[in-house]
Amino acid sequence: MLNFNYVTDAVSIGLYVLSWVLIGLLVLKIYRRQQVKPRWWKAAVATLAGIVTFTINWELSGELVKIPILPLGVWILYGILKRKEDRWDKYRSFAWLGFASNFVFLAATLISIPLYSLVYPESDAATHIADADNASVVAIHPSGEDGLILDKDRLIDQLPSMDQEKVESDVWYNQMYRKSEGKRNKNERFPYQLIGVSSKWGSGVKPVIYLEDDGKGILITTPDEQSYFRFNQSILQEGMAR
Amino acid sequence: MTGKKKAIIAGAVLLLLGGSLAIYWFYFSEPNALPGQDQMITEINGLLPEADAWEIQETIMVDNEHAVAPFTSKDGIYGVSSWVWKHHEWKLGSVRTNGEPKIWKVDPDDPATYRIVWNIDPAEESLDTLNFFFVRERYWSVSGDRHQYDPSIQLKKEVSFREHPYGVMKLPDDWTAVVESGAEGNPREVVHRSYPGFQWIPLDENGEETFLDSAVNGSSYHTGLVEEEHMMIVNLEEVE
Repeated sequence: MLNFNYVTDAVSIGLYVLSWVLIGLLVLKIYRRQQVKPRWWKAAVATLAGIVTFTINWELSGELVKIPILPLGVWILYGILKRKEDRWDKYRSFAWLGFASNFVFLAATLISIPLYSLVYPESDAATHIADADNASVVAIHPSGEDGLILDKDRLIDQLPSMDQEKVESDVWYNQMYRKSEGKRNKNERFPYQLIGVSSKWGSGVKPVIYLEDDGKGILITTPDEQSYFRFNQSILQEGMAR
Repeated sequence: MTGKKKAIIAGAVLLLLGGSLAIYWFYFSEPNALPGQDQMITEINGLLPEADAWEIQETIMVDNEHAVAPFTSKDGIYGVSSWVWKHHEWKLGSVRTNGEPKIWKVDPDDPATYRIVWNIDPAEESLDTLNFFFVRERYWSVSGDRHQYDPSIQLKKEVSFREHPYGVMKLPDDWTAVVESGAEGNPREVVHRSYPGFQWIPLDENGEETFLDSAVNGSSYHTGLVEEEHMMIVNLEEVE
């Protein structure tokens, strides 16, 4: 089963809900077809018990992939029910359906990874800057000027035409080091941060966005990745005194 | 229904009602006024006899349920006590006799509730300005073709010591936004930062560094109610 602590994006949650709907439909189908029917809620409990499984967990692109191995729930249920004749037969299909549900969840996880990249492309700035109406700029380093204002229109206008460039962390670091005359932190290539920016609805990521000293570059930082974009025109404006 | 059954049901309902009321009163009712000066002093000295508290200078509310009371002793201690409303009682959360600035993380998950709290002897002649900083070191890494570059962060706030020998200060809005966005809590970054977080420098009239024995040395007592973080004193060189 997917874990909600792990997953907060709309794609995974949507697929998770779909998985449950599918399982529900399958339970209904088996229930209707079966000759000797248990009470409906007992069938549901048997299904849920069947979901209990020993899994091997594996992290793939930030998602927890659980591969079902041992049908523990099915075994336990069998152990309890076998004592009375014929009782197990009533519940067997439901318990095994529960175990099979794990494969539905597994498939959902595996589908969600490429689907997520399709809906929320990591390298597309529009994923991270979807709504800039409440955006503003903060100087995070003394080499940045205080009291500058973010030109929101210029930011929004240029979003589609930005150029993605390489993040060259080692080069930048060394440049800053040389410019700082032996003092490590005197200069900073990205002395501003954009705040109040919303990422695309449902992406589940809150990126940190740094702004370059010339106002023409942004460095978008998510827990997984960094991407660097350049504009033609600066998005910073000389402000009135705040 | 027989009379007996009715009585049992009525009793159960009353018990439930009374129980919920008691729980509400215990956990959720509005705070009372803070204890008076004398009671505060008794409690402070009970928790930390070295504090030797004599006078409460002021009581400063952080919010409804959290308060700070800077205090002095007869022989020149300038200390800080923190109070928390919990279980229908104002509880003494922490006492310290060293009044250097520290961060009280009232709600550790919400930087907007962080407060810088200090109380320094106004007779400290050399001290003129308190410089507060939030600092993160620049960092880079490359693994394969994945690059990572974290800009250096240096936020600064000056407070006049002459006007505020003691105080409870909310972080500036910029700081809150930056800290909130993950500058501090990002687990990836905890590993490499050598001087994480909040720092300060005591400065004299000429903007030179000075040293404060009285505010830095002392004893303290903490209960689990107050999460206080040390603010390291750094050199001007490190933040220029």
